[in-house]
Amino acid sequence: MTTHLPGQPANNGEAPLLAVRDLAIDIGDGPARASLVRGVSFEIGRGESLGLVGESGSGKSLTCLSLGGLLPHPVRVTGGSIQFGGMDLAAAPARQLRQVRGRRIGFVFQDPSGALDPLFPVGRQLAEVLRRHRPISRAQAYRQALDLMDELEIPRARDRFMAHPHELSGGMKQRICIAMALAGGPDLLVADEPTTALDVTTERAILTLLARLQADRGLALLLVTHSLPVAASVAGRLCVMYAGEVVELGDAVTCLDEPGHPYTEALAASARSLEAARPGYLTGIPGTVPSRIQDVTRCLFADRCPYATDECRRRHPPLAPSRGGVAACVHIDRTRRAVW
Amino acid sequence: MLRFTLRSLVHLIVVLWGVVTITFLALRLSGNPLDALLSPEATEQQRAQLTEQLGLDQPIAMQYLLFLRQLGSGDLGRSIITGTRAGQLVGDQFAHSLLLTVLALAVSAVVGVGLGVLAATRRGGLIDRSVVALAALAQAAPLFWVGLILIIVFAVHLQVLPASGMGGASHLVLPVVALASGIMPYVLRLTRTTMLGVLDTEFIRFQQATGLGHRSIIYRHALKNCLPPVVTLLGLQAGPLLGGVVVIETVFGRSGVGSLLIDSIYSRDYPVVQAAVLVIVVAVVLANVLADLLVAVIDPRVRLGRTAS
Ligand SMILES: Nc1ncnc2c1ncn2[C@@H]1O[C@H](COP(=O)(O)OP(=O)(O)OP(=O)(O)O)[C@@H](O)[C@H]1O
Ligand SMILES: [Mg+2]
Repeated sequence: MTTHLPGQPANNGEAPLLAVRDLAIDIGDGPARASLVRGVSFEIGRGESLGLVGESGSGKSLTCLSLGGLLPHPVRVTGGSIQFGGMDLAAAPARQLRQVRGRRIGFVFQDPSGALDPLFPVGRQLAEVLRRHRPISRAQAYRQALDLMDELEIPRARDRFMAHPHELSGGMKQRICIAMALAGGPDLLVADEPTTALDVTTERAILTLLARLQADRGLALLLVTHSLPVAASVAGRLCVMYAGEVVELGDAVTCLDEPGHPYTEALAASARSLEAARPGYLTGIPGTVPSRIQDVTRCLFADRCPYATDECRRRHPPLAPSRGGVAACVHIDRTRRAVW
Repeated sequence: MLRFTLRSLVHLIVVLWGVVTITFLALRLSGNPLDALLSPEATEQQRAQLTEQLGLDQPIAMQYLLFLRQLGSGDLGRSIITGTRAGQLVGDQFAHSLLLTVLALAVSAVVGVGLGVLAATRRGGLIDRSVVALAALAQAAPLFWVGLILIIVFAVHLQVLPASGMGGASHLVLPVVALASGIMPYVLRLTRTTMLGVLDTEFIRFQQATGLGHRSIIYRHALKNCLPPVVTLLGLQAGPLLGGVVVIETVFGRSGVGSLLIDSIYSRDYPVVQAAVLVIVVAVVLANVLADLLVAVIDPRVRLGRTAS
């Protein structure tokens, strides 16, 4: 009776807010063509949060950008579907995508210092986005912008309204960016490493704020981060990406404590050793993420994997049920429970 | 902003002082100033009078102070030919040239920025390539040649505009277009390159992601971010532009400081040449100060002494 797949949100018979199926993103044409993202599938329910983790270059940002039709030329979606609000965003015309951006899906990016126009006061930039989405007067937009700045816990909003970006701290700028992303009242907020450019205290504050906004507004959240524990602290479920593929998808706490994929295990272990902060005990993952994949007849993590066998180098492992959800590894039984 | 303005004014005063001093020295170092300032037929009495007026029998420092005082009271000497005050002569003519220059500046700013934005937003397309080719052509063509072509086409063949002389607005069209053609290509190229850079920045991508419209992104945000370098360029082009005025006024038979300068050079009317050069230099320096102030109004970071990224 239930259509609930392992690793996907409990749906109570309702269609998910966002359903990404078999997403493929390529770059270039002809012989220069290469695959950047392959077979990525995940769902996000209304008001639910999903953490997207993975090393640099694993395709997290491209996956996010594809949701708004924001991929930079010559990168483009070449397969799969992105079901959202009855539309397939992977095939939607530009006009339709413009209606979705900001109004249905909000975006926040990594670098708040570069994300705002340096020549306009931040309050006016926020008001401009508000007026784009609602039929309101300039005065109303200014009032609503101030309200939104209050909601984003920006102290002395009135003073900061006319401040230019260079006069604000990174944390304040990121709050303005979040306010701009929420100005159109979206159902889904895509936050691509919103705290990477910030210091640790500010990072905490922003993450807490995101969690609060999510609860208050019934917002669904796709949170991209490098850090497994950060993702697990904010999101209910995790999607772990490696070299343009989903290698594990499932309940956040279980994935962190009982990883199904050796890559998740390694990410968790390196996070733990960072936390313990004992010199010499830092566990990096040896090797680098392969990019621009042209051959996928093997496990892409095999060269860096301690469990790798000949089988891993012959066959691309499919997603199989794991403790937290699903994982793309034939050695799921061998990955260890975390010892905290 | 106030501090920035004050700093610009101090800068302006220092440059003016430098120009004035060089003018003073040039006259003293090139032989007896009397030979330069008076016509060869001048009487002994005239020579004696000028010697006393300039303090040529006094030490050089004293002469310098006298010179400054004279300038301060607006006295730039008298024309050797007509005997009119050089300052007044130049002042009368400068208004004509200023009008021509300001109009040409405005035309090249509007057309250059407009075409630059058009080309940048259609990068690699037919419009982009035609606009860039047009800029290259205009950049390669000498001013006097452009002026002559305009005269041949619009005045001689089509007979829609007057070829030369002073008069109403119709007399201004061809000279302004010819003069603007000299700097418009630079404005166009700089706008295009700057715009391409701005369109590739993070904040443009973020604005697209917030759902902001294409028009307001390009014409409000991207365009404003293009302006600081373009305004600076326009200020820097004031010099070449006034040089161009000299050519254009001659080609179109217009009176102005340019034709006055040419005439005075031919007749070795040194006081008038000196006054004209001084006024032109002051105008160029003022144009640059104005451009700096305008950039500071556009970009608040400049007021802090930081440079725009
Ligand atoms: N505009 C582009 N042109 C060419 N290659 C690109 C472009 N954008 C991304 N890529 C490539 O696609 C791959 C995935 O990039 P993506 O930005 O999605 O990674 P990421 O997981 O977000 O990494 P990070 O944590 O560093 O942000 C990388 O190998 C990158 O080199
Ligand atoms: Mg990224």
